[in-house]
Amino acid sequence: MNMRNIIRLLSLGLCLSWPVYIFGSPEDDRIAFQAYFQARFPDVPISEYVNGIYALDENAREQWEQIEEFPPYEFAVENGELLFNRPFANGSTYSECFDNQGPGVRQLYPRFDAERGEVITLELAINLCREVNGESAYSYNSDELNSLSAYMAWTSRGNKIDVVIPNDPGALAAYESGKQFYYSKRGQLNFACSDCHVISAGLYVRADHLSASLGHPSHFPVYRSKFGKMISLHSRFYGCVRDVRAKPFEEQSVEYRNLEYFLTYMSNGLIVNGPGARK
Amino acid sequence: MNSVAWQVRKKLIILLTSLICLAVLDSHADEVDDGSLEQGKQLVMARGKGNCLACHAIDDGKLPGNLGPPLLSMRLRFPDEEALRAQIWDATERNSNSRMPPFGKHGILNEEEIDMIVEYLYSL
Amino acid sequence: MKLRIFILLLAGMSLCSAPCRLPAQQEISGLQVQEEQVASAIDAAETARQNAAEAGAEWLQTNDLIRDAREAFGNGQWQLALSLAQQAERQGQLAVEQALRESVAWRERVVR
Repeated sequence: MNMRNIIRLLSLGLCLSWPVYIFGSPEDDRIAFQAYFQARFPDVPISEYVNGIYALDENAREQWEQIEEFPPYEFAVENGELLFNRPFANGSTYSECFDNQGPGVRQLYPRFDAERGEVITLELAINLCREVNGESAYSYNSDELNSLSAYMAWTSRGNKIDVVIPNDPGALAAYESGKQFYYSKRGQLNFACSDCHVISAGLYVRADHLSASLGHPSHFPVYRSKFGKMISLHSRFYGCVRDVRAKPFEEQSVEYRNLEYFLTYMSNGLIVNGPGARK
Repeated sequence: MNSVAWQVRKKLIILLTSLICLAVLDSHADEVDDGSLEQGKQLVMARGKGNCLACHAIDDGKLPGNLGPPLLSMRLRFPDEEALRAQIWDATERNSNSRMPPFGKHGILNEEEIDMIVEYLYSL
Repeated sequence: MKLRIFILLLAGMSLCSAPCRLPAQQEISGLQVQEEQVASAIDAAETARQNAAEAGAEWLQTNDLIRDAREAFGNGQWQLALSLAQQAERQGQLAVEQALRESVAWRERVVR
């Protein structure tokens, strides 16, 4: 029996011995998650969390608002629109792969595909659309993919995040695995996502002001001034995992897709405001 | 043996021994003050090493984090050196939810480095 | 005369206390390391790393440590290779231990 199975067995054993845990539904989790931040920062309205750290940091907010006057992601949005409307070699277009022909659907992702039995993120859906139309998949975090995703976020601005977890054992398992990933300590430095972005939200690691996880997925892809380019949510996951000195998973790995599923569900009801700009 | 000569010799021995002991002690004291303390401080501040400043305000360290309490009056807070060392070596032993990395257990710092850090922290 | 010897001994000890430690360390690092010992340490490290990877818990630098151990081994630096391989093996074991602990411990942290 390999290690992964031993761990699964242990987790299963624990679920069975502490039944109270399996009956905490995703919706109970979401309500508790949002209530936690409401209680921690009573002066910050829940709707503000889509602005990341700027919801909690007055000083940095001014600088950010100045950046937003000439948004550095504008080029990506324009490029994304061009790419989106350019027909594939077979004559069909992206619009045939998406609800509402594409624009304004960001808030529905990630979604659980019962047939495939896995979580489909927006980026994966774009690549699946390409493959079904005989085109090669873009590499993740390529400019093309980030531009398409920026355009699709842009056209969805203001729409309420509405991730659905159907009553399907596969969907619940994916959600649960994302939740476990989120709360598990990992790496040589032994940090869980929640160590920094739940209990330490609003505190400082050196000069870095830690943002709250609530609202995290609302504004990706993000233009990072530090890198001079757009980066995806999974690229951010990659960076965080590496920073705690764990071996990062690949972008769009099942681990990160499940994490995104959990994390985005926690922000249900907040609006899409991507693409974003960060230092 | 002449008893007066013996007395003189005895005093000389005591004097010499004390001098030697003092010299030994003193050289070690110097080592701790100048060498180890400075090295300990560097380990505490360095990002790739202790990086304690990431979460704790310490001495004159610039832009400290605040996930953990300021490192002040360490003698008072940790009268037992072993307890301070254990906290650095593996804080999760005492509290499995601690956000402090297990510096010793996970090999982020080696034993000598932890000793130097403990020494430095007691100077605060 | 016993006392004179005692004094000499004391003086000798105090003079020697610092420099005498160095040859002892060199002796340790000069210990004979067998080729097979290094090879099996590298194998053990790789197994530990794979166990950690299977648990989804591999650490960032484990693979690099093994790579460096192999390189040192190839260059005939057996002592260094052994030490790097042992570090990597320890990391693999600690990562598995961490994954086992966290498979239970994470639930305590869930916001509820």
